[in-house]
Amino acid sequence: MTVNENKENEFVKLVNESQGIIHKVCRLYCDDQTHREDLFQEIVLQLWKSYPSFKGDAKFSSWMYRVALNVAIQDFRKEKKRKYLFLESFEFKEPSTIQKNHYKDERIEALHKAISNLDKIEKAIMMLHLDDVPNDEIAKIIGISQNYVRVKMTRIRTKLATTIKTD
Amino acid sequence: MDIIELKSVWNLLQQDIISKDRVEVNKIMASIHSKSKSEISKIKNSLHFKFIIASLSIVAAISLAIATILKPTINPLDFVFSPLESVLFFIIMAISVAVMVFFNYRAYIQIRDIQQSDLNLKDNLKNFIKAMKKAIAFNIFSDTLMTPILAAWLYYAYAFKNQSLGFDFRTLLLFLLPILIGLFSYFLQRFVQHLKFGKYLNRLSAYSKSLENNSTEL
Repeated sequence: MTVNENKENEFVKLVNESQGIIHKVCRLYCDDQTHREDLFQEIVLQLWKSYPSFKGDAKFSSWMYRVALNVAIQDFRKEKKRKYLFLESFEFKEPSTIQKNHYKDERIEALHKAISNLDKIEKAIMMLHLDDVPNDEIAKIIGISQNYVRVKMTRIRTKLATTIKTD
Repeated sequence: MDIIELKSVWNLLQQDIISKDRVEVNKIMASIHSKSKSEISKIKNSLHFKFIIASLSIVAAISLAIATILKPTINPLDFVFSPLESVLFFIIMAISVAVMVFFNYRAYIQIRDIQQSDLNLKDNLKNFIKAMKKAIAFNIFSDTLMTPILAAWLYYAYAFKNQSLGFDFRTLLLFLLPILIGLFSYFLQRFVQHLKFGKYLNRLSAYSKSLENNSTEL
C-alpha cells in the first residue's frame, strides 16, 4: 500500500465515522435529493483537498463542520432567466429554502419547515448548538465572539418558536 | 418550542438522517476522486478553456506575423491589408490576447484559491467575496479588451482600404471608435456580470457584514 493510499484510507475512515455532520449540513442547505447528493460530494471533495491543512490540533469533527459549512454557505445554483427581451441571462442564486422533504413525524416536519426560514448563518449556528458543540467552539468555527453566539441563539430560538406557532 | 423540546426533535431528525442518508465507504472514496460539479468549478473550467484558446491564438498570431515577414506573398489578409499592415495586425492581436490571458489567468488564480479553505466562516466569507469580486473584475477587463481592438481594425480595413492615414475625420474616428466601443463593451460586461452575480454577492456581503458588526460589538 502506497503512502497516498494510506492517507486516503485514513481520511475515508475519519469521514465515515462523522459522515452524519455532512448529511445534516446537506439536509439544512439543500432543497432536493439531487442537490443534496451534489453537495455531499462537493463537501467530501473539499474536505479531501483541505485535508493536508488539518493539523490535528483541533478535533476532526470541528474541522469538518468548518469546511462543510464553508462549502454549503458559498454554494449557489445557476438559474436560466430571460429578463431583457433578447438577452438571455443566467443568475446565480442561493438554492431555494423551500424544503421538499416530507417527514412522518409532525414535529420534525414543523422543525424542518421552521429551519427553512432561517438564513444560512443562522442555520449554521443553530445546527452547531443543537449538536451540543460548546459555545467557544461555535465561536471559533463561525469567527465571532461567544457573547454573540449566545445572543444569536436566543434570537434563532425565538424565530423558530414564532414560525412553529404561526404554522 | 423550548430548547429541550427543540433538542429532542433535533435528535429525531438526526436519527432520520442516519437511517436514510448514510452512505457506504466506497461512495466516500469515489467522491474524493470525483470532479467537482459546483458552479465555481464550472467557472474555473471555462476560464481554463479560455486560457488555452487564447494561448493558441497568440501562437497562431505570432506564426502568421513571422510567415508574413519572411514571405510577404503569403499574406493571409491580402484582401484587406498590405503585408506591413498584416504584420502589425498580427503583432497587436498577439499583444492584446496576451494582456487578455494575463487578466484571465489572474481571475483563474482567484477562483482556484477560494475553493479550498478551512478558515472560520467569517474570514472565509470575506475572502470568498473579495476573490469573487476580483475574479469578476479581471474577467470584465479580459472580455472588454478584444472588442474595441477588433472594431478598430475592421474600421481601418473598411475606411482606409485605398487610402493612407491623414489628418481628417476618418483618422479621428479610427481613434475615437475603439474608445467608445471599449467603454460600451466595459459597461455591458459589468451589467452582465452584475446580472449573474450581483444578488448572490450582495447576499453574501450582508452575511459577512452582520458577522463583522456583531463580532466586534460584543
